[in-house]
Amino acid sequence: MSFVNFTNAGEYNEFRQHELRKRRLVMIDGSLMANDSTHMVGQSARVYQNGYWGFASSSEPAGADKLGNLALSNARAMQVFGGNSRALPTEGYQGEHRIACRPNWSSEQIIDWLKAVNDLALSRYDNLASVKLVAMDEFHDKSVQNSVGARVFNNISRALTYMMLTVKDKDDKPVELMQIISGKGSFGDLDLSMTSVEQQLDELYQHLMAKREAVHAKGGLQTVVLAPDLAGILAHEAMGHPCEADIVLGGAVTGDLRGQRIASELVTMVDFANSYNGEELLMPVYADDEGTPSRDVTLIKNGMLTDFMHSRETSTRFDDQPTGNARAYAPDDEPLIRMRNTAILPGTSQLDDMIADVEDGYYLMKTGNGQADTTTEFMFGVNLGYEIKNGKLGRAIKDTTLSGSAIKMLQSVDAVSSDMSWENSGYCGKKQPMVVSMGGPALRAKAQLGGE
Amino acid sequence: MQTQAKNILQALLDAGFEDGRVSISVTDVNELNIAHNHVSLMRTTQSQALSLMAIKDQRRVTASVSSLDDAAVQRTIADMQRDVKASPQDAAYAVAPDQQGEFTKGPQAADREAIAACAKSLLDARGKQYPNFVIEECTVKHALQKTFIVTSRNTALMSSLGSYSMMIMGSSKDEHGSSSFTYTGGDLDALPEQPLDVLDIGAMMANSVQETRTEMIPAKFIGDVILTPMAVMDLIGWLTDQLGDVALLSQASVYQKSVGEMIAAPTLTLRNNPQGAGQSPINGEGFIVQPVTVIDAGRLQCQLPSYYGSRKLKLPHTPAGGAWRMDAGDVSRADMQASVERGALVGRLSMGSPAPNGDFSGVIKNSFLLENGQRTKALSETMITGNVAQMLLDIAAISQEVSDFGGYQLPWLKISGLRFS
Repeated sequence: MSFVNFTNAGEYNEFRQHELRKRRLVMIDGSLMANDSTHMVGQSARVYQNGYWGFASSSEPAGADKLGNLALSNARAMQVFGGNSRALPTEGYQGEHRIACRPNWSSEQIIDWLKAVNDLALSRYDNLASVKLVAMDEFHDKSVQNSVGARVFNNISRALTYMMLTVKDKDDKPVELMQIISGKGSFGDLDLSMTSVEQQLDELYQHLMAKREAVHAKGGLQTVVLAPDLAGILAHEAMGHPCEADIVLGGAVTGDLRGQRIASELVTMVDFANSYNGEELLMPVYADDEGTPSRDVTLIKNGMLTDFMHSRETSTRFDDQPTGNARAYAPDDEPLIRMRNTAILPGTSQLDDMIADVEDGYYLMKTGNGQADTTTEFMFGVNLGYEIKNGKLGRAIKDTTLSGSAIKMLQSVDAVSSDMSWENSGYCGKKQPMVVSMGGPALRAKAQLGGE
Repeated sequence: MQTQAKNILQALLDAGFEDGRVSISVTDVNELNIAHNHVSLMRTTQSQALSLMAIKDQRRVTASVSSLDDAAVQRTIADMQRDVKASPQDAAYAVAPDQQGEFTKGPQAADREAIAACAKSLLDARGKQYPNFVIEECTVKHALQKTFIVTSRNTALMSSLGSYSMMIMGSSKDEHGSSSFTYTGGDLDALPEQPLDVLDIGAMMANSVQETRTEMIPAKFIGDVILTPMAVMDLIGWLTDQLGDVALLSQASVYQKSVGEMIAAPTLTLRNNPQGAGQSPINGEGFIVQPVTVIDAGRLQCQLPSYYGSRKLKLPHTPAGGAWRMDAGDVSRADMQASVERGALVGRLSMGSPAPNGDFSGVIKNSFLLENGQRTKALSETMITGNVAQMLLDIAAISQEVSDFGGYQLPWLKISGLRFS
């Protein structure tokens, strides 16, 4: 990929060349259900004119001028609605950023690994009904240039595996749990050694045996200790989405709360652009797909709602500095405001002490998907959890849902552990999917739990 | 493109594959976006995709690329030759046999003026009737997808599928506060002059503006729910997953051996809906979608494995597509609501995937408390807990009214025995 000469059509314009490579392999009980590879290449242009955006893309090499003119004609076509232009920020980043990957695995290596894990699980655990394994990787190469001087090459990549074990309960109904190994780069960057896999599957199977005898959680407001793996999704769903400026403009309650206390003073939450504590994060964004230099955005500082995440356009509307959060998923997608590496920062408590101090509550360990809301009422599924009785872990609980007002929940946080766990599996869903990372420590709070 | 597809299939066979499937699709999209009650963006996208599946020595490999140029095709076939060797042998791998047909469906050209007029009409109607509703995001679009599929087993299909679609997401804001976000959308053969009259858009806005002031339920209880059609989609999504490849192959489906059994209330009949707007008459495997009744008067008629899944599990193969319609019932929505002593009218279920056994707990959003047959206050922070398989059996009533979302045509359902907390 290289930068090209292009016509400066419209008040502002940008041109993106985008290559996306993905693989997905699925093995169920030794049968290879999917062995797919996808390679998408595309060019797109976006033009801002008189308050409207025009966008055009092609999977053929159409060229910057042709697409730029088509995008401009699209923007002009909307002038019938009346124009109201705002000047966009003029910062443009120049630089190239590539993730230093180790050599990737071939499909043959991945299939051999899937077979080995399948055989290991079947030979090691007596009561398995099924072993489901998924391996996926994806690589995004983007060259972005625009009319305010940005020339950016960004590369983002990740690899991940899902290992799902299923057993039957006493009523012959399926019970399942999943372990995920994911990270930045390629399969070559993950620890997929059989020693590590064996250890993780042993733990998973122990939990699965406990979940086989699980009881329903008590429904209603409960004291919960969220394991570090769950704090990230809380950060992302509960307060991340409501702090995206386009969601704020859509009427989110956060629009009226900037500068106000919305969480315990123990809570600080940041959407990091690319690095934390001097180390590059799992989804490093140095400049976004509008060519804006990326900045960390402190969403909550010691419990106070502070800043929002922006595109060029929303930063103008809010009179804020642009933050570099505009990202596009596929070659034919336009940039939207998306999170990058969103986390609640660690505190000083110890997880064991946080559990020991709970008389009656729940320790929640694994999650499925989640959802945010304009009201900050969030939810996420809980696939693994245990009762806490008098400071000790008790019986496993059946799948449940954690929910509530994020503001009420974050205000109730009374302990934050010193741990920090990051992960980048799964997709964030908005108009487009997006790869993101999330992180956090263990938290203790009160929230609504689904159950009896 | 049909010639190109055949040439690429021949190239696969020349490369030593015993069977192959080639699909070429070209998609043109014209889309107008509304953001925050204002028209914001017009998109024009042109994309093509070449999807290949090939089998050699009972080993299978698939690949997709966005380029149709000769060099890219040759590279892809060479990669497939390399990768197929690693695939485990499986006698169930096969390509679609003996499917022939050419289909043209839906509007074949975009009317950009109609798209703009629809957006204007939508914005005007919102402003006049529901000024507190904020359209956070809306798309009005036309898509035309031309697809050619050929296989080495005498399949040659062509489809030219055009459709309009609308998707709206938003929430309401007034002096009391903000409502939960809500959404609706679907496919249409033609754009409407009055957008609030289609896809339940008007009903969605009317409910949303009443949801800015919410209350929690004062105490747990067991009661009824009336699921609106958008919430019924969640039930159907879980059901079709249970009848599909992943659940069946992993022996994790609660309907693994249930064909012929009553799995739902006798009032429920569920059919596929390939004739719906925007629904393709062919599927990605290279089969013509057939009419299928999945549940007939509560009794499961068939499962929904892919061609591979059906051969692997020795099950009948029923290419059904992904659109569903539920037969209307005999109760009006008003009577249905009047019959609820205590429960909720549920606009949207916000929850993770139900457990494989159907257990779930989810937050009910855009929902209203029902007390003594009356809709009272909008709810917040309220969860329902139950089992999806049991919910299908516990359907107490199905409405006469059916909402049309193009692919999905669904009524309201009254279901008893959910736990509220």
